[in-house]
Amino acid sequence: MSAISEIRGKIPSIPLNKLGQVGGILKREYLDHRTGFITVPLVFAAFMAIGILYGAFFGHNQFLGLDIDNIHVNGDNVTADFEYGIERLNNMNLRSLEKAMGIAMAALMFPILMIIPFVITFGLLGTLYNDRKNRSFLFWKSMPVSDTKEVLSKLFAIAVMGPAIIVGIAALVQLFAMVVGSVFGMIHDIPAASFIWNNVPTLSLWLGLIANIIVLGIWALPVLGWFMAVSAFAPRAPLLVAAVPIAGAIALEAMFMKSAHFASWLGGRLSGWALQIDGRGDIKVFGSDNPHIDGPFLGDAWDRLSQGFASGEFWFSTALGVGLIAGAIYLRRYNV
Amino acid sequence: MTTVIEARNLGKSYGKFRALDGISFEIPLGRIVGVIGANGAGKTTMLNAILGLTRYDGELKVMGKNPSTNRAKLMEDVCFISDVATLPRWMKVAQVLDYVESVHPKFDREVALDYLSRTTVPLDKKVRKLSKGMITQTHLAVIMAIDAKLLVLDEPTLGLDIIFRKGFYASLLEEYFDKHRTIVVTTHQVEEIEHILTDAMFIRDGEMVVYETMDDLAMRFCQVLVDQEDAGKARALDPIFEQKAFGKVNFVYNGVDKNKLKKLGDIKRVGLADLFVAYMTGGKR
Repeated sequence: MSAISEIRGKIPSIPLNKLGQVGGILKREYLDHRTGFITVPLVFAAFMAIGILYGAFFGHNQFLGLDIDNIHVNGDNVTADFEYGIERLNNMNLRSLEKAMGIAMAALMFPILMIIPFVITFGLLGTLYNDRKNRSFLFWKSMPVSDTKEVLSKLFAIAVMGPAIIVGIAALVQLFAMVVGSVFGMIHDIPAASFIWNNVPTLSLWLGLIANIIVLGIWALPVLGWFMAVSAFAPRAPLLVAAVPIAGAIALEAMFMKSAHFASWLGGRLSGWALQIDGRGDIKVFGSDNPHIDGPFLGDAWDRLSQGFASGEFWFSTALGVGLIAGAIYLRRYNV
Repeated sequence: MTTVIEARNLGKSYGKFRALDGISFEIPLGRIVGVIGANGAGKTTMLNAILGLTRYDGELKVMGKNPSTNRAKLMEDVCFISDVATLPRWMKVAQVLDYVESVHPKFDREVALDYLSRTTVPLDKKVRKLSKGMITQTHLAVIMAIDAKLLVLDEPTLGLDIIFRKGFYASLLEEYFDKHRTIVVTTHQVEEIEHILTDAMFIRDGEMVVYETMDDLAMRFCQVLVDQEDAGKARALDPIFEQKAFGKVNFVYNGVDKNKLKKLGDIKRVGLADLFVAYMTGGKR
């Protein structure tokens, strides 16, 4: 763990406090959530880097599951002729190649990206609650910062800034994998390096991932708002206070109405990544019906968001989320 | 004379309980006002209303602003230490200064560092690693570095030892207070702040029973230690409080001619704590 602290210590501190009040609050939130934003992802990244290295150089001649003795491109075994394989890949539709590579890289980063929902859930549930519990809200409130700015900055820090940092760490793992892949190719005499560096998306993928996370957050706004409101009023155990009414509502609906509208609505909100609710309120799985909205890129994020614009349910849910956040601001203001 | 706090019928209820029962007062600039009251008397409720931390009924203006709707703007000119140890325990002292510097337009980091340099507070330690006294010194350093007009202190030295408490008030008086600032302070250690106060306000059961300058209080109230046999004469002069002590009886009077009292014994000034007890237990005005 000390190596991680050392790395963390070497990360240049961003002069956020030069960015005025919001910058000061964001820096404070970064310091408060460093374990979730930095330490845990770095530990995951370190393990993944070891795994990638081990697989490539000390294990079974594999690179990310690619068996060097048995490589297929679109069904053709190209193990004997890598030049041909690369050519086949290069001849593929560029957009779908980039998308395929993007999805593959997102899958590579998945273990680190999976930290994000936990960081958001526990971050939002704890942020206002902990301030009350350790009485520090009295210090924050002695500063000329409005409760609205305070709560919205916390929401931004936890739901956008933190995930963006985590994507950054996941990106380092991707870059590391690309370097290892290039060296692996050289050792095994496969012209992989130029293919990797020409075709694997980097910045566009990372920005796309961040944009998709923001869109997911908008889809899940009622849940994020609920977490913040609970954080502002829960007398203790905010996770329990947040979960019990939701579980209770689902159970009561199932028992007395024999339906699951609330659960399916919640599922739709939480899984904007994979599901969408169309104008009629039915849940559809992305993919077959919407082949253009299955990637992790910027355009996919926009498609994912704009899908909602036509649906009344989207606007209702977003308004509900905004209302709950407004409730959290109100409670922060007067719940001394 | 500029008015810093102006309250008209200031009240606050928690359900049926009336924590603050429509009090009215004005506090001008350049004063140090001690707000004295028993636990649950309504002191903190009043201060929270002044600081925009709670809703209230009645009218309240602090620095000409409505604290309920204008807290953020108000905090540019108002500082407070409400409760001890509210500094974020997970932050380092230097990070606390960074934060305040980034959000407060009237914070001067050099002033804070200068004050801290005269203490043993380490800048690179987390607040949770500091002693209670050091945490208070850190908070005081922040407060002193903010060019505010009003400072509100609600039990700022609770749980500190006598040396820290004395140092705290000495610093406030010597390095912070001037005629352009007002300090409102509550504490149970009345004797320790009595000498720095310019005014005293007593609150009992949500009502303001005394709000006067210390000079006026000294003029109005006095105490006389009377022999047992003269107790009857002393009672005839309508004391607000009496207490047996060392075979004698101590009587506290409000506004009684001192020439009459001289005949009963030596007249002494009444300490604020004694006066408070007289008010709370005597029950007479």
